[in-house]
Amino acid sequence: MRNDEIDKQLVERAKSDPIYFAEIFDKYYNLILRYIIHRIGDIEVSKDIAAETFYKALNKISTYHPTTAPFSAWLYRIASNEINYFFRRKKYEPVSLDSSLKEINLQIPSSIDIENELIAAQEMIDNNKKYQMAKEMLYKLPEKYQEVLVLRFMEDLKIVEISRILGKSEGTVKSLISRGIDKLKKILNK
Amino acid sequence: MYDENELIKILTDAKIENIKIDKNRENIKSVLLKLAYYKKEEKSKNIFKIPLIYKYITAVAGFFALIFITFFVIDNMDDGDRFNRNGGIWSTYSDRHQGGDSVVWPTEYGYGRDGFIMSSPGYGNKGWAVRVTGRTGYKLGYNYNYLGVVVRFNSKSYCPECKGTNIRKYNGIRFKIKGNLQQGQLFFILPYESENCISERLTCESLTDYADYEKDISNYVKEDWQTVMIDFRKDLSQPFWVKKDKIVDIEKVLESVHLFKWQYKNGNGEIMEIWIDDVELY
Repeated sequence: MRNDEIDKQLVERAKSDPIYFAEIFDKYYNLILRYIIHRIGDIEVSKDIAAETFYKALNKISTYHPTTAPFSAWLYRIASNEINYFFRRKKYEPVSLDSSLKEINLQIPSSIDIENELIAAQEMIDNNKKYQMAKEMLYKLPEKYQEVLVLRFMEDLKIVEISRILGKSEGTVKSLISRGIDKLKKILNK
Repeated sequence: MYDENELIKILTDAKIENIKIDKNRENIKSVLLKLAYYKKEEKSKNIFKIPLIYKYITAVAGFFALIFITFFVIDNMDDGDRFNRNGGIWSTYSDRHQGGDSVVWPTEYGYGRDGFIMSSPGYGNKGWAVRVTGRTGYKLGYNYNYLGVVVRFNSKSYCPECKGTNIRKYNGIRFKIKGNLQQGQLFFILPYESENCISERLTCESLTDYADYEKDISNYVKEDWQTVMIDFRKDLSQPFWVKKDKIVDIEKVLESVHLFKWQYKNGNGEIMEIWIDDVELY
């Protein structure tokens, strides 16, 4: 069975029983987390954005229609919106998730193990010189170029996939990528 | 001076691979599902317009019930020992005690020194998992050859106590599986046993003559890990050969669960292999 067919079935089942959302979560969490890390480079914030992304996906799953975009594209889009929100505010709080948790007085459990896991992940990110170099470079660009360049070259997505995520035509995506690279050249070769 | 190709190379080389925060991920997943079930409960309560005070009580009770019943981990194998989290033991079995010639590894009780051992790596390339390999023989004929693996529910659910556990509050069981079944078939079985221990075979008495609720899960077994979700009430049925007086309501079975079985048959003597991990009730 094709991947999008499997997703379609899982989503349909998740609409009536959240337990099936766990399957979707398991399948896509690492992918979406990696994208957010590529954009932000901070594991704490990335973890929070990933949690909010999946919470929003869970709440809005009944509005998702497979004809408009593959499920992964839909998740990338939610994550992108949250990332943009973070860049605008320069800080991040998973607002919807937090307020729902407060509503029923529930907290995401924490422990030394969990904290250590995050510390180790942050160390890996910080010690990845190639990533740090690319991030420094990307941060010189406006966000709209960062977004397409990360999706194209770090997430290895095709133009058509990026156009579905961003809701822009393929031509616009190509031109954003090309202009992004040009801008980078100009900035770095000054 | 950077050219376009160099810039693209810098970006492609900067990919971050292998960053996983599995403990955090599981935490978030569990919280999201609790929230989802809580909201679902709330929604259904609103439909019936229950008076406020009852609504509050049931919501709180429902929420606390959900915290405890959303998941129940039978075993994630992470400690690598042959016992699940509740003291229930993993073990293998085959048709040998009936004169068959099937062979199973890890060695079944009474036929070798090793007994049951876990294998690694488990799901997600970490920890441990149940790995069973072997081949079914020909002596007992088609459909009568078998080998399998069981996990007892807890430390009281086998001889001498043979105590069942009520798991009616759960919808089903789920687990990860991978392997190669060759030509054979793999069934998930939910046995129904009494509190009588058959001391000569050190097993609890079957109340169905082994015509237990089951589901053929052969199609799920592939080279890569797959998740199997079995809804107890929708997916399981007793085999067609069940005797009339052994037909039992699934709710009765769920009221007194002793063990879960994964049973393989009709493998034509070829070597099969299955891996099982993260067994949970949901």
